[in-house]
Order: sequence, then C-alpha cells, then structure tokens
Amino acid sequence: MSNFPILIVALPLCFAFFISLLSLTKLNRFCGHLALLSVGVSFVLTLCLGPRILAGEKIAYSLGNWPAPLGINLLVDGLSYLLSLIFGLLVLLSVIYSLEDHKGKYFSLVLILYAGMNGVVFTRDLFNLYVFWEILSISAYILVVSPQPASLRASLLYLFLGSLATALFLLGVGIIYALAGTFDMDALAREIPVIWRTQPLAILLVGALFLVSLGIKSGLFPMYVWVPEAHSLAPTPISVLLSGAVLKIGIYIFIRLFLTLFRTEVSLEGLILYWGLISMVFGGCLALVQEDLKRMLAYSSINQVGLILIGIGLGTKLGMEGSLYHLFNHALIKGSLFFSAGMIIESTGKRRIRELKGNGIVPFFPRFSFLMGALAIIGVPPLNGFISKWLICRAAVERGNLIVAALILIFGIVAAVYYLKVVQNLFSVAKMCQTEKRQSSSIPWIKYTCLGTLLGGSLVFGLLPSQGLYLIREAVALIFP
Amino acid sequence: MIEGLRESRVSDKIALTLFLIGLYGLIAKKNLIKKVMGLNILTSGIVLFFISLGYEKGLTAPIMEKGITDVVDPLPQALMLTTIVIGVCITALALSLIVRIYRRYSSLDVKILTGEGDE
Repeated sequence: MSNFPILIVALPLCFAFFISLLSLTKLNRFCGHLALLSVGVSFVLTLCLGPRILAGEKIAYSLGNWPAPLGINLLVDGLSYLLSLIFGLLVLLSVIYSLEDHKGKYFSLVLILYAGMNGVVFTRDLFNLYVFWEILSISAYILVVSPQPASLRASLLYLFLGSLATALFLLGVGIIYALAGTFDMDALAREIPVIWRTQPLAILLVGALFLVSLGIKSGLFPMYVWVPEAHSLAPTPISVLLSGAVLKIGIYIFIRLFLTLFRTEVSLEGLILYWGLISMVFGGCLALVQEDLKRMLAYSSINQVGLILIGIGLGTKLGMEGSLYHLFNHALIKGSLFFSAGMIIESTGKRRIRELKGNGIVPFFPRFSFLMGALAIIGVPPLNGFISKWLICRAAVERGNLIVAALILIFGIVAAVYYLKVVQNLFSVAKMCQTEKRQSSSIPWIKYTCLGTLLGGSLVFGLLPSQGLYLIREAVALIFP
Repeated sequence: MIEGLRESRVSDKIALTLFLIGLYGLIAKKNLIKKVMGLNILTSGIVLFFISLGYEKGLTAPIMEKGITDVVDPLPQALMLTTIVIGVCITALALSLIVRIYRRYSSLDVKILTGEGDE
C-alpha cells in the first residue's frame, strides 16, 4: 500500500501518453473510456488509502528509494487525502460528463491535470511542488479553450497571470534554497525558525512572494481578473474543475506552507481574515450585477473562496474545521451548479440570465438541481453549505468578531438575491411551453448521473455532517494538534 | 548552508534587473508578443538567480574524478533544466494562442484580453 501515492500520480500520466497516441489511430472514440478507466483506478486507489489515513496514519513513499533530505518524498496525510478525494471525484464526473462531447487529446490533458493536482498535494519537496503546479496549470490553460472564440483570449489572460504567479513562487523557492539549502519540507520546517532569528527580512520577502502568487492562483481580490473570464468561457466540465479543484490548489498550498510549515512569530491571521473579507464582499457585489449565467457563478466562486479564507484567518480550530468543510462542500455545490448551468445553456443556447425567462425547453432536472445548488450555497438547511457556513460563523462569534459574522450572514442574503434571480427566471411560467418542447430529451442520461451524484453528496453531507467532519478531522489535527 | 544571499554578487544584481525588466514588460507593454517576451526575460532572471546559487569560483563538479573535496552544488543547475523546459512550453502555448487570436481579431493589442470588441 505504501506505493499507492506514486501510482495515483503516475497512472494518469502514463494513460495520458497512451491516449494521445490512441487519438491518432482509428480507435479515436475510445480515448474517453480509457481516460475514465485510469481516473477510476486512481480514484479507487485514493479511496483505498482512506481507512488508514482517517485512522491517523500517514503514508509516505520515497521516489527511487532515496531517503528524506536528498530525494523527493510523497506523503499522504489528512489534508492531502481530503484534497485528493475532491479532485478524484470532480475529475471522474467531468470525464463522464464529457464522454460524448469531446474526444482525443482533451482527455489526455484532463489526465495530466489530474496527475498534476495529485502531485501538488502529495509531494513534500518544494521544487517538485512547483513542477507539478506548472504541469496542472499548463493543461488548465489549454483546456480553457473551447469552440467559443472568446475563450482564446481568456486562456491567454489566464496564461499570463498564471505564469507570473508560478514565476513569483519559483523566485520564493529559490530564496528559500539560498537560505536553507534544501527543498524538503520537513527539513525546512526545522530550518526556517532558525533562519528567522538571523534574517527575518528574507523570510518575509519569501512569504510576500508566496502570498501574491497564491492570491493570483486562487482568485483573490485584486488578482481575480482571470477567474470570471476563464470560468465562464471554458467548456462546462472544465469550469467545474477550475472552480472546484484548481482554485482550491492555491488554498491548499497556503495552508500547507504557512500553517503547517513556516510557523514564525509573525501572525498572518489578520491579513488573511481581511483579505478573505474583501474578496467575499467584492465577489458577492460583482456577482449581483452579472448578466451572464456562468460569469455570475465565477464571481460567486470568488465570494466563496473569500469565505474559506475568513475561516482560516480566524485562527481557531473551529474556523479551520469550517473552512476545510466549506472547501469540500463548495467543490460539490459549485460542481453541481456549473453542471446544471452547462445543461441549461446547452439545451436553450442562451447564456444571459434575462433570456432564460419563460423558457419551457429547459428540462426539469437541471432547473431543479440549479435550485438545490443555489439553496446549498446560500446556506439553507438541511444542505451541506449550511453546516460549513454555520461553523465559520460560530468561530467568528467565538473569537468575538461579530462584524465578520454579520458580514458572512449579509453576504448569504446577497448570494440569495443573485441566485434566486436566476431560479425565478428558470421557473417562471413558460409561455411557449406547448409549442417548443422539442429539445428536452437531447441531454443524455449519463450527464444526469454526474449531476445526481453531486446533489446526493450535498444532501448526504448536509444531513449527516458528522460524516463530513470525520473526513476533515485528520486534516484539522495536522494544523491544530 | 549556501552563502548565496549573504554576499550579494554581480550575478544576483543582473538577475534582479532581468526579473524587473521582465515584470515591466509583462505589465506595461501593450503588444501581446512583447508581453510573452517580458515573461521570458522574467523567467531568465529567475534561472540566472538559481544558477548563481550553485556557482562558487574555483570549485568544480565532481564528475568522473576522485579526490575533489570542494564541490559546487549541482542541484540548482539540474533544476533549472526543468524550469527552462517549462518556460519553452509556456512560450509555445502563448504564441500559438496569439496566432489564433490574431487570426480572429486582426490585432495584437492588449485590449483584446479585457474583452473589448467582443460581440
């Protein structure tokens, strides 16, 4: 079982290679199925690690059998496991969703993206983390390109900002190497407090570089510009992956580097709290005025990432629990919202919220699931969004930060305004209902299963929050032992 | 411990200058291809910084020789190969996107990126 971490990363990479070869032959149409097989195997391997991880064990693997400070190590602990679980689920559903629409190289890129995501969360080596991050970013830049011509500029914008972010990260890694002489995270965790005493400015510089780079990658307030473009113009399954998984990578790296590694005397809590607040307020306000359905969902993602950061910035165990649970829930909810928005756009051909009014041709299930997703993200019980927002709010109250708690509640209402506007348009009386009922059966059932899985997940984790909290318990224990 | 940051060298200053020139190009230039050039210069600055970490005057790499006690750190050079390859990938991807953007919009102006002139 100890070689599972490398298998989870390497299998999709090998399959990506074979799929790009297969796409050149006449068996072109089986690329998707092969991709599904490989993601499925990787996801099952991740699940197999579950019982041991949740029992508090950590599974380590040294690449090439070189011991810790010299070689590259992979380590699966509670936090990596939680993220890997989210990625596996979302990638699996996205591959299933795109089986009919896409072919060939698309699937090999999705597999490379998956390998990169798992690599980032498993690795214990800073430079290796940078390489995996670049791998996943490059495949994400390419995947953003859809048949819509405007997606080309979205992809280029994402590429410029993303490359700047990884370049800044690399510079930070270089300075750390100059100071400590190692890339290994465990060794760095011992070295950094020593260096802090002699050269605090250098460590602060590294911290600032990392923060800016992670801020760009997870779409925080001043550096969010690529988020609405890339999320709204990408193909539907890629929007799901970008919002549910790729934005979360930034948050993961932040938690990993700043909360479990570089524990210095400087407290980042205030900065993170206010940064999250500004992002939440800003994303929520801008989502109100959007006319494009997917663009509104993208701004809502900025809002929710802000909320996750607030929970981290509160600096208490309860806040961290709420944040990690919200990270998990947001992946489920945003996945189902983007899938149903994709289906709605597919069946009506209309993206603008206003034009959705009175459309009898939207099938019932996407409309219903959009409603459920909207309720979940607003935080209506018994859906899962309620539990995590409740935890973050309670943590804010316990810290005595009543303004933060009030703002979270107010922006729950703001979210209700912009989501229910869409829901109202979707469910408004269809004037042409009788005459235009043609397209309602055009969506294959397999896409409904993707949506159903995510919706079922939101309901289960809302009704049985203890199950979800059990999943994140080990991750929280890493940060607050 | 490598003393890279303790005594600042000429190469560090050149690396920083390159980094800042690249950053300026990436941010301030209006032409998309010039932005890609800026990104490349920025990456070269970082590569130079890493390479100079592994350089010590008079020391050599212990390849196929015995009895060398003062060795340079070979790791940064090896890592920079990876970074250079990644940089080539990014450049190729950016340029191919720019070619397709130019075919559609017949312009290389940065205003395209903010969606002006769309629809």
